[in-house]
Amino acid sequence: MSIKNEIETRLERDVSMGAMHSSLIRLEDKGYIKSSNGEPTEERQGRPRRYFEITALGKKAIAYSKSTREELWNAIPKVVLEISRA
Amino acid sequence: MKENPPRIFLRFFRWYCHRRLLDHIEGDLLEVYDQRIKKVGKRKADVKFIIDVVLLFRPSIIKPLEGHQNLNNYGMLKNYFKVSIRNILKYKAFSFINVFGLAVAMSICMLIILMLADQNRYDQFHEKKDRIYRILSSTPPSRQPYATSPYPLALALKTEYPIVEETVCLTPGVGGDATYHQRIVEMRGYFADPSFFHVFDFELESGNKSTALSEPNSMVISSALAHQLFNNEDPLGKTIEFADRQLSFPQRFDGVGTPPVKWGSFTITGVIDEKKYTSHLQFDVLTSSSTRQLLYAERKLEDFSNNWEWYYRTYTYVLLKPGKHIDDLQASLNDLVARKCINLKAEQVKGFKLEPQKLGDVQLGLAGNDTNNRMPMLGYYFLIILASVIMITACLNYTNLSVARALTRAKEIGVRKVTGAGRKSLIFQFLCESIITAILALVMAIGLLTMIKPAFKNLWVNQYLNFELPSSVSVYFVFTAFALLIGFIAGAYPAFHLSTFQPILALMHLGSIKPGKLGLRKALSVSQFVISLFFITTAILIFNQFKHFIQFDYGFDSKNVVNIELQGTDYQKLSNELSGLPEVLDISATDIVPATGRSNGFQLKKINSKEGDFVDAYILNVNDNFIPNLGLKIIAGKNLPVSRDSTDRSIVVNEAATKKMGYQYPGEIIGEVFEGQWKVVGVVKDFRYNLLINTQEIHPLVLANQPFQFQYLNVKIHSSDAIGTLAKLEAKWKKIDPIHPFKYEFFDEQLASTHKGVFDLVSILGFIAFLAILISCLGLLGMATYTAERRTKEVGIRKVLGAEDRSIAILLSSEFLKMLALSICIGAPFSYFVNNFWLQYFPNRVEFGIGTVLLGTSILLLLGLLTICSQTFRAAKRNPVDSLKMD
Repeated sequence: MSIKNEIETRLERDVSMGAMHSSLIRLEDKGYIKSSNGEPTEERQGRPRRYFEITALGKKAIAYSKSTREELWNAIPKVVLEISRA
Repeated sequence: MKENPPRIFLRFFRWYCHRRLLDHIEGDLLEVYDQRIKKVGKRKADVKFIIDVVLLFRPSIIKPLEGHQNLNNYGMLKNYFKVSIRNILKYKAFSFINVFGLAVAMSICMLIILMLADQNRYDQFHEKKDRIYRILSSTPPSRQPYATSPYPLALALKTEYPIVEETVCLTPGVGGDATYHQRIVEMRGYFADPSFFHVFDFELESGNKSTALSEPNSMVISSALAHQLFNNEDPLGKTIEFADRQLSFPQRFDGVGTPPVKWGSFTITGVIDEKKYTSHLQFDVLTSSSTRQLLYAERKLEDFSNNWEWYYRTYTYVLLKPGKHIDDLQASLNDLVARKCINLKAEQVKGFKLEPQKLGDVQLGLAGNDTNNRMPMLGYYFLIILASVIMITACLNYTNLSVARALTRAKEIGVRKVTGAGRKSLIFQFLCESIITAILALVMAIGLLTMIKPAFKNLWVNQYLNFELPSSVSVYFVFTAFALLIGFIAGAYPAFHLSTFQPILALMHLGSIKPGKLGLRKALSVSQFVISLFFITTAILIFNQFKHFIQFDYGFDSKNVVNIELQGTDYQKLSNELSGLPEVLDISATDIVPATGRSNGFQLKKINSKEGDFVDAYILNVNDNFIPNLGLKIIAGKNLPVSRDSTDRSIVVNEAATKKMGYQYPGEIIGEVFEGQWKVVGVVKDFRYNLLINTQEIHPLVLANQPFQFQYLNVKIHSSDAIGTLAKLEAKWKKIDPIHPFKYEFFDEQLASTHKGVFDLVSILGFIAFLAILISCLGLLGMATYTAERRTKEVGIRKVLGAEDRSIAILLSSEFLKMLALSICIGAPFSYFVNNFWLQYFPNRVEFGIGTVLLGTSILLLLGLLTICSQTFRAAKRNPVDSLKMD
C-alpha cells in the first residue's frame, strides 16, 4: 500500500493496482524480493498487510542496473544534451 | 457503518484471483477503497474500485485454469479411452452392429450435408456478394415468389434511391442461331446492362470489361461457343449474323422455337470462360441492353421499358452501397411499389410486393421463373426428415444395446463407484465410449459415402439439379462435428442411466438388476419396426404406382414411333423425303408431343353465348395423318381435312369436349361452328395428352391442322431393325438440313421417361426402407444374441431336464415375437392410413389395398423371424454340457 502511495506522491503519477502487483509478483518470482504477511488491520477488513523486503540478489541486481544506467548516461556526449536543450 | 465496495466485482475478483495472492491484494483493494471514500466519496470510489478490479485481471494474477487437484486428469482420460477400446473389442458383434448401423445412417446424413455444401459453393466468387441482392416479385395468390421483376425497376432504383450503388437488369430473350463464315451455332442468353461486370465478378478471357456491353449490337460469348464458332481465330471484334428463334431460356426445353427472325450483325466484344464459375446464372451469350432499343424500333421485340405490370421477364440485381442494410432496401422497394403500382388497375398487381433476396440465399431459395433448375428447400426438408428418421433408428439401436448390456457393466460400475468415481466421471466414461464408436462409424461412413455418391449422381433428377458433390476440408470438419454430436446423442441415455446404479446393490445383488427398463426397450424396438414397416409399404406402393404409369393405356399407339424435331425445317419437305424409305410405315406431324409435359391452352365458345362463357380446352396442332398414325379412334364425323392453307378452320374435338360443351352424343357436335369460325368435323375417343402425374381427368381437347405450328414429325417405322432405320433417317435429314443435328426420340421411351422422377422416388425410398429394416434387424439380432448368451445356463439346465430344441427356441424368441407382432399391429394400419391419405390427392393412382400392406408386413415378418431364429436356434441346439461344465 505504501509502495503505491510512495510512487504516486514522488513521481506524481497514478499507478494501477494490477500493474503494481504483477510487477511485484514478477520480482518475487525472480527472487529479487521476498514477502511476509503482517498483522490484519481494521481498515483492511481483517486482511493481512504484506511486507516486501529486498534480498541480497535483489540488491545486486538493482546496483547492477543502476551502474549500467549511469554508464549509459555518461556515454551521452554533453554536446548532444546542450544542443537538444537549445 | 463500514462502506462496502460493489459486491459483484469483489466476488468476481475473488473468483479469478490466484489463491496465494488473494488475501493481501484484496486487503490492498479494500484499504485504497476506504481511503478514497474519505477523499472523493462513495460513487467515485466505487468506479475506481471497478477499474482496479478490471485492471487486475491479468495473466500473472489470474489463477491457473486447473488446480493442483486435477493433475492426474491425463491418466484418467487414458484409462477411459483404454477401457472404451477394450469394451468395443471385447464385444465385437455388438460393436459391429453399433458401428455399422451408425455408419449407414451417418453416410445418408453426410450425403445431405454434401448436397447443402454443394449448393453453398454457388456465387461465392463475387467480391461484393454480401451487398448484392436479387429482387423477387410476389403476388398474394401464388405462394412462391417470382425471381423476376418489372423491367423498369432497375432504372428506377438506381436513379431514385441513393442507397443503391448499381443495378443490373438481365432479360432473357436471346435464343437463336449465330452465323460466322458458314458456321452456325445455337446460342441462348441474356440482354445485360453494362453494369453487369461491375456488380458481378465474371472475368473476361479477352475483351474489356468496362466497355464490352456498352455499345448496341455487341455480344459477350462463352469460350465454348467461341471455340465452336471461330475455332482457333481470335473472336474479339469479329462480326456475326444473328437470327432469333425465341429458344426457351433460361429453362432450356428442347423446344424448337419459332421461324428465325434476323436481328442483324453483332460484334463480339468479349469472351467469358463460363466453366470457371459456379453461379446460378448460366448463359452462352450476353447481349448489350442497348441493342433492345434498335430492336424496338424495328418491331422485332416488344417494348416493356415502361411496363410495371409484366414482372415475369426480367431479373433485377441490386448492389447496395457499403454499410446499407437489407431493411433499407426493403423500405425503398415498398416505397417504390406504393408509388408506381398504385395506378395500375390490372388484377395481377393487386397486393403486389417486391422483396430483396441476398445473393448467397439465391441458390437454396428457388423462386418461380428461376434461372436454373435447383432443388427447392422443401426437397431438402423431405430428405432431411428421411435421413433423421434413419439416424434416430440407428441411435436407438445403440441406446437399446447399451442398456441391455447394463448387467454386464453393473459390476464394473459398482467397483468404480466404490473406489471413488463420481457420477460425472462415469457419465464421461460412457460418453467417451459412444463417441469412439461414433468416430469409428464416421470412418466407415466416409467409405460408404464414396459408394453412395456416384449412385446418387446417376439418378435421373440429377441431370437437372447438377449436383457435383465435391468434398472439401470444411465439409470434413462438419462431418467430424456431426459424428461427435451423434456419439453424444446416442450415448446420452445409457450414460445417464447406467451411472445411477447404486454401488452396493450393483455389487451385492447382481441378479436383481433388470437389464434396463424392459418397457422402454420394447417401445424403442417397436417404434423402429413400425418405421421400417411404413417405409417398406410406401416403397412398394410407389413402385406399384410407377409400374402402373409405365403400363398405362394412353389411348394411342406409341410403339415404334420416332419423334423427330423439325428445328425449323419444312415438315412437308422432310416427310416427302422420309416417306421414300421402305422402313417408314407412316408419317404425321404435330406441334407438341402429347403426354410428355407440354401443352397449349385454347378456349371454345359457342356463338351467341353469354360473355365469359368459355370452355377451357387444350389444343394440339396436327396434320391429317396424326389420327390414323397414332391409332386414335374417330367415333363420329370424319378426320381433319388435308389442309394446305391457314384459312381452313376445321377441328376435331375429343369426347370430353363434347360433354363439356353440353352435347349428349358425339354426333350432335358435328358441323357446329364455334366462335373464331372453328368448325367441328369429327370427334375422337378420349386419349391422354397430359402428364399422368398432373391430372386424372381428361380435359377437352381440340385438334386443328395448322401446318405453320408443326415442330415434330411422328415417324412410324418397322420394328425389326431400329438402329439401321435410324441411320437411314439421319442420312435423309442431313440431306435436307445439313446444319442442325438430327434430333429424335422413341415415343414410348419418351413416355416412360416422364415417370423417371417417380422412379427416382422409388429408388430413394426403397433404399431408405432397406436401410431402416437393416438397422432394425441388426438391433434385433443384437438383442437376440444377448438374450441367448445370458440364458445359456438356463437353456442347458432345461435341456438336461428333457426340453426339446423347439420348445427352447420358442421360449427364447417369444419375447421378440410379441414385439414383432405388436409393431405390425401398430405399423400396418398406420402405414395403410397415411399412404391412403396422400394417395387420394394423386392423379391416376394405383389401387392400394390390404395386399400391399400384407406384402410389406410379410417382408418385415420374414426378415424379423429370420434374425431371431438364427440366434435362438443356435442357442437351443448347443450341447448343454458345454454351457454347464464351466461352473
